[in-house]
Amino acid sequence: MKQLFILLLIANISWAERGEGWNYPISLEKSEVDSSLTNEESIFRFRVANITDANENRVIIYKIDGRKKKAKLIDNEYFDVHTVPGKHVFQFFYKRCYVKVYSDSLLIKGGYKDEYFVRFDEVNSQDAVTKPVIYLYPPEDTHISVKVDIEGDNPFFYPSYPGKWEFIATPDGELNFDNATYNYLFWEADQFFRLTAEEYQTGFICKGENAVAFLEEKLTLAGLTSEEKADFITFWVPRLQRNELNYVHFMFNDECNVFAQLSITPQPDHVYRLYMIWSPIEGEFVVEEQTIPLMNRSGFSVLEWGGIEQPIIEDIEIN
Amino acid sequence: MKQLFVLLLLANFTFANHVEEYIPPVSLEKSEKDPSLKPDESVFRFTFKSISDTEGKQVIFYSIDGSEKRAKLMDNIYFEISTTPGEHSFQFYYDEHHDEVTANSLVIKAQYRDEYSIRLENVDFPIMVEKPVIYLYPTAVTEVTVEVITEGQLTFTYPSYEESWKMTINPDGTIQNGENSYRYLFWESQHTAFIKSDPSTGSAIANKDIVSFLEASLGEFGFTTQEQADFITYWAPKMIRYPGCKIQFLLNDECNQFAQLNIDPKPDQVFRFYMLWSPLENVNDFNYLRPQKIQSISRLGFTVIEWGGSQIELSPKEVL
Repeated sequence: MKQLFILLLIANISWAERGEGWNYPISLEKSEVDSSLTNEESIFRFRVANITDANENRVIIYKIDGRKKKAKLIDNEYFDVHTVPGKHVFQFFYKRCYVKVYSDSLLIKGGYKDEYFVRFDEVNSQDAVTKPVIYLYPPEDTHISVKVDIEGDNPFFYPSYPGKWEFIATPDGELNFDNATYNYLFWEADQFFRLTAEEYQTGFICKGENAVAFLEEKLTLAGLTSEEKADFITFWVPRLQRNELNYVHFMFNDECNVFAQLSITPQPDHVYRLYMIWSPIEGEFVVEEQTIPLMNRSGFSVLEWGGIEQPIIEDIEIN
Repeated sequence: MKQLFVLLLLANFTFANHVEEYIPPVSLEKSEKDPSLKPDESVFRFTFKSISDTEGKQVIFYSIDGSEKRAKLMDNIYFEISTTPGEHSFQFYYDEHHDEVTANSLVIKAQYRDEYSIRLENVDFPIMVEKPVIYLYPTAVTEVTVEVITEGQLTFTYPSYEESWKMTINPDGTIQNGENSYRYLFWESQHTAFIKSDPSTGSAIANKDIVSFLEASLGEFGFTTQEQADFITYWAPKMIRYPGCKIQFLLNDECNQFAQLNIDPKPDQVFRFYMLWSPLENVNDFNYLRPQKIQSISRLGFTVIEWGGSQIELSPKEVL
């Protein structure tokens, strides 16, 4: 499953690239005898191409024949791998906003220094910000208007959104529109989003088979009702439980403005937002557990939850 | 990701079929002279071994050299045509669950009996059943037991399910389980169901019209707007990513192919609504689809309503 997904991703990227002059991610530039080497030694020199960030101390994480290593780039451009003659397989990783690079087996002769270009393409796919759902609980029947200012593209709204939602909400959370009653407002959009390296330090590791218990515990800590939990869990658990292990990071309240800003009139007493950013993971991954703040349901309270599934985190990325 | 899983299933299914020896749809089994035939007479015998159904209608529609006929299968397996020597073209059709087979230019000699076997492949397909949601509306507060019987294992249920759900249900549909209350019961299974449906019915809908089409269809069936929202917010975001979709509904008893529901006490009415949908490049290519008539439900007495669905691949025929 995972394998296929990766293949598919790679395939998509390749097709997209080939349309406009395809460059192989790894290409041999030079192969020459290095007199300083014995016949039992070889050097691969990997010259990194296409990284455009301003980082002056780039570090590449790579795997040679399955063993994970780290290399600081010399002149911010290349690094050497000393090894033995024969066939070697490499993987290269820079940051999550660049596509990982996989080599075939590269054959090198004894006493040779072979120089390769390694091209890092930026990931340009967008993740769907999936299923944010908004519940509103005024203390008495209230005429409410809600605007969402979405950061992403291709938004989808339900019910229909002619610039804003307008309805009368009841204390039990029923949203009465002209001809219809709903339990929640729904929107979705496409957005490129990655957690920062710092954000990756915190979160949770959730086994697929324990996903229900995990989410029930966290959402109870957050103060969701059983009905709200059911909407969240029935949406996400079928996805989480397909993976042996998942990394889960929650974003709360103002942090969620990177996805969308909510304007609600009249002003609610409490707005609680909870987004779950998650990826399948492979390998060992240690994180510091996050604290889950409790929603305040007094007065006019509003809850929004959403989430984004992100590409698999492989052990090559995990420090 | 779900989408991918379906692809994977289909792909596996196809590979599995390819691993088996390829059997041509038309193959000559026997050709022998029969002196009892007239000098200008020849007889074709066609046997059909691949048809597997129990309805026993066993009538083959065929055409010989362009003229359409029908034949009852003898011993449920073969029929014969007496014709003239020379070259003949045939087409064979059984029903919408089987491929049509064309045999161009079969040459037969005078006073010969040629026996062909014709393979009508079953075109029913395996699918994954996604997110069925069950709502229950008893007339009074009632203890209800719900069992879902599927071919395969349930991969996910919520709230948790141990051989059945046993819950207290209020007339407004609120499902009470101890301290917790829910609006619906949720199950999902990843078994492969071989779905029987007529591919010529349904609707081809452009992406901008999908939400209003679903609202109209769900409304006609009799879903409340809250129930409609659960359905639409689950399916529409996936569907509108394509230029259009072919949409077909399976209603009520037709949904027994996905799973059976055993509910105690027995509801007065159980309504089921499943959607099969496929992405389309161009909806205008599918103008031939016959729209479905949706019978409205009435919520009299203890009523149970379930919806679910599946994204499927178009059959190879439809792609052409």
